[in-house]
Amino acid sequence: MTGITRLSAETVAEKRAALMRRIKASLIERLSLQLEPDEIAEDTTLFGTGLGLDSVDALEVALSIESEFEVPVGDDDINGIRSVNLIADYIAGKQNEMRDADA
Amino acid sequence: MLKTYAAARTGVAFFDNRREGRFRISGPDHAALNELVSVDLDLLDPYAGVVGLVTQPDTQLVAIVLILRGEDDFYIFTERERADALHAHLVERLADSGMEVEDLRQSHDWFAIVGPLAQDVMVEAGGEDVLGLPYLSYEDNSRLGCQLFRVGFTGEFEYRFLVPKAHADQLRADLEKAGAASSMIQGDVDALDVLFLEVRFPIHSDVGFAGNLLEAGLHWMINFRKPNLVGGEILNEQKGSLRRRGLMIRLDDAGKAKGGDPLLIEGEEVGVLARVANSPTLGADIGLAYVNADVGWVGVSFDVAGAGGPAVAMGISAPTVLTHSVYTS
Repeated sequence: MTGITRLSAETVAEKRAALMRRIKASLIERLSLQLEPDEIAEDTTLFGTGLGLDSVDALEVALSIESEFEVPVGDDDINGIRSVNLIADYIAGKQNEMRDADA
Repeated sequence: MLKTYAAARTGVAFFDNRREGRFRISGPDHAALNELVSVDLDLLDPYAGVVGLVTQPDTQLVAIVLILRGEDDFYIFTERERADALHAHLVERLADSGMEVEDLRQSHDWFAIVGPLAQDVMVEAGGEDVLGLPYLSYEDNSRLGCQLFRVGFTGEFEYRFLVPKAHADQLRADLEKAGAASSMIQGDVDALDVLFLEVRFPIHSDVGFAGNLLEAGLHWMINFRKPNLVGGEILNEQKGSLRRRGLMIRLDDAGKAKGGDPLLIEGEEVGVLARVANSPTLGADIGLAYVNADVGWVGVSFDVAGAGGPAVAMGISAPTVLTHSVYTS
């Protein structure tokens, strides 16, 4: 049993949804995507078949993460950022690292 | 299947996909075909392709398709389970259009090589020039005697070969010879299910558990800006008000859950597993679930009332594996 309550599940979900809204808005603006936020599914791949971004766009994605969320994106990290959901994982992980370092 | 999986993720595997659907649509005006699909064929350059959906006007899914545009024709491919349904739909809906539907299952075989070493095999078989073939495109390749497609649905490099049946044995032998140095193996097509699931590439049977195409997360296969998008009014209404969401999950115990098992929070059903498979890369069972929109997010945990006993699942991000081809591309 998880022991999770509906309230705690909804809290986790709302926090994730809010992060997703910010990420999508940032990507749409930075990359001038002709899409609305609710036309992007969270697991859609950024490159190839999904949003169809290319290697130049990948740099813009990194800059978007750095400017909007104030987390650094290493050259090696960009390969792992393959979907909007994985951008969120990356941001959350980096923010935790930075919080731990400040503590 | 494990051997095939390992080859596709770390080496290269050959797949005989002759059971999959493959059709050539030709005619003077493709407007009628464009009315059947979720993508805009007018935006496709010759020899370029796109993944899309063929749907009924009420958005009921006929098939997930790969479409490539030729000079004056289109090639449409789909999974084996939907081949007959797609063929019947195309024949019926294009009957009065002047377009001709050719079922290539009768005349052509359909092979694939998949894996991080697929490019090595292609250089050996077809020369360095084939590496210039863009993703989601094809060419008439005289050296190989076939139409050569560069695609990829597993996160790995993938080339496909549409070859007249009379030349199929020769091409297969040539590819096997070219693949010997890369230890290419004959792949089991059943292994593709887990390869697809790991990167959340959808198959038609996934969608049956979802309330609609957008709950299934197929947004990226739909051009919402397309004039006269089939089912466009319905899709535009649905996109802002999803009741359920497709969510990849990871299970804490292998072998306990299967497709159809419910997901629970505090004993209340909040979702259902569409399918489950063991990911050798992750060393765990993963699955695709459809979960109520208020809790169907990454990071949320669920109880699973599994047929093999209770289990715990957590929402995770896809793609769930970072493929070797990504590192080397």
